[in-house]
Amino acid sequence: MSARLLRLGRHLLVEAWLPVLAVTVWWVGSASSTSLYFPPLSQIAERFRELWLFDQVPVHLVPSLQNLGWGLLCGVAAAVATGIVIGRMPRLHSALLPLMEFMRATPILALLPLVFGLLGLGVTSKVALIALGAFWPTFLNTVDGVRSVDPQIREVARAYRLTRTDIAFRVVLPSAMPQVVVGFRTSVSVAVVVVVGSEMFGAGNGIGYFVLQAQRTYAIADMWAGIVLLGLLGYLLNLLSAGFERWVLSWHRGQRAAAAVLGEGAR
Amino acid sequence: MTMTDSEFLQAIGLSHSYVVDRAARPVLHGVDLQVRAGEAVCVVGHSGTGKSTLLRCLAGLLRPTGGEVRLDGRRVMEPPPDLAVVFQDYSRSLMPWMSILDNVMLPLRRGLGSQERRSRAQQALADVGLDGTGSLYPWQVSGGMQQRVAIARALAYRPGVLLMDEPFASVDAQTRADLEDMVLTIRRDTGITLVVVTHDIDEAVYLADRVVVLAGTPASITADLRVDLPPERDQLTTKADPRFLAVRAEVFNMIRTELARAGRAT
Repeated sequence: MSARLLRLGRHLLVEAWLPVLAVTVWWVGSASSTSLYFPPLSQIAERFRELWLFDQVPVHLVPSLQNLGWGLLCGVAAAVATGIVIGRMPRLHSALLPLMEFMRATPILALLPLVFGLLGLGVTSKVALIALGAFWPTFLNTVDGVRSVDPQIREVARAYRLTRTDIAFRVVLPSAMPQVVVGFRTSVSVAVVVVVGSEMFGAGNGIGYFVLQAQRTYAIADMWAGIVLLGLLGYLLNLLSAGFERWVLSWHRGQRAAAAVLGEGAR
Repeated sequence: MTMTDSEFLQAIGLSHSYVVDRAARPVLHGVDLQVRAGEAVCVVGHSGTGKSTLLRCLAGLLRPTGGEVRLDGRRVMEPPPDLAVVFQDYSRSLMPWMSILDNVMLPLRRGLGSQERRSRAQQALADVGLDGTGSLYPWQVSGGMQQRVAIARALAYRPGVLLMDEPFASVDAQTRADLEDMVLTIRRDTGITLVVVTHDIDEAVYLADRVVVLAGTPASITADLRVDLPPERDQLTTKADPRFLAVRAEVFNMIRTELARAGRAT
């Protein structure tokens, strides 16, 4: 037990020394700063505590997280569903490919004025934009994953007359899952960008709105506090999606590890 | 052609061509094969003769470009419910995201309750000597055990016909002998009709009531030999039996002659 604790301690030390050093340098280096855009870190920390622990959380953080959650859910669910369908229709896929590449390559924030014009300045527009942004990475990866299902596995599914539902959910989707998850993790980071961007364009709340508003009113320490919060949020979301990946793909890691060990013995 | 009891699974004038660079490359031509119910037939031929193509046509996985396959009198257009296949590459034919038990239960989801599925799958795993491994993943067990799982999956499906495509080509010699004996036991206990495709002549003669030789380009059946051995077989004594050796030599000669002829032709 104490050995495990020791190992954990050493692990933390190895992981944390550089961030700790960076924060210390920032803290000390900015202590006597009089620059408008780089206030002392102590001031930023003070504002962070006042704003985000937890006074402004319901006003700005909760709406942002809600938009993020709904947008991700809608975008990713639609992406997986259409990805499975289109991935299994090679002709449709090749017909749609140029169009899909074009749409994926269009920066999602370029659609902001259009979507706000169509759907108004409310939550609907923001969720729609986030969903659209989250859609493409998961969708394209799902299509790839579905297309690369082992033909041998498909033959097994045919030989044993599996139902279409079982083929979709017990064969094709799990087989494509490693790639779906890669897409999902990109979708999460895109979604965070779109959350902030959409709030900067047209909103009365949300962290993006808060950061822009703070800059406009020269509350630069507040702006920094918002930026730090976004950084922490992004980091946390990445940890969460990495954990999700580990959980969903435990079989995949196990299989690859086994293949590496047995590589010679298996012939 | 009239239908009798002796024609349970049959290929009639079966031909198949693959299209390679817009040209038809014929692989099988005019294959006629009759398998009686409960019979064990091994198809031998050297690699690349079209053994797997024949098996996939018999399984309904591949639509032949000529002739037809019939199972119990009905023309096979797609994989029939009364037929199961064991593929050579066990590592690619089991689902790595499912436990061993779930793999065996997967084909039973059409029309069986979950309790019935579970008990059938567990019975099948016990039959292949894999009691108590159901909760493991396929990649956590050896290659020989993975092929046992694939066989259990086929048995739990309770087919009338079991097709096996080079089932033991990827396992070591000892495991291979064990698995051959296991297949003989299963056959004796269930009376299943068995068609095994293999390039191994010893294995073919050991497992079969009849050995057919597939040869030529495009390939057809060039020999059909009865294996005159009792159903109880043993790796040591059967393989030393003069009748075993006689059939083995005959098949060996046929294939060697065929290879030599092919060699002269090219």
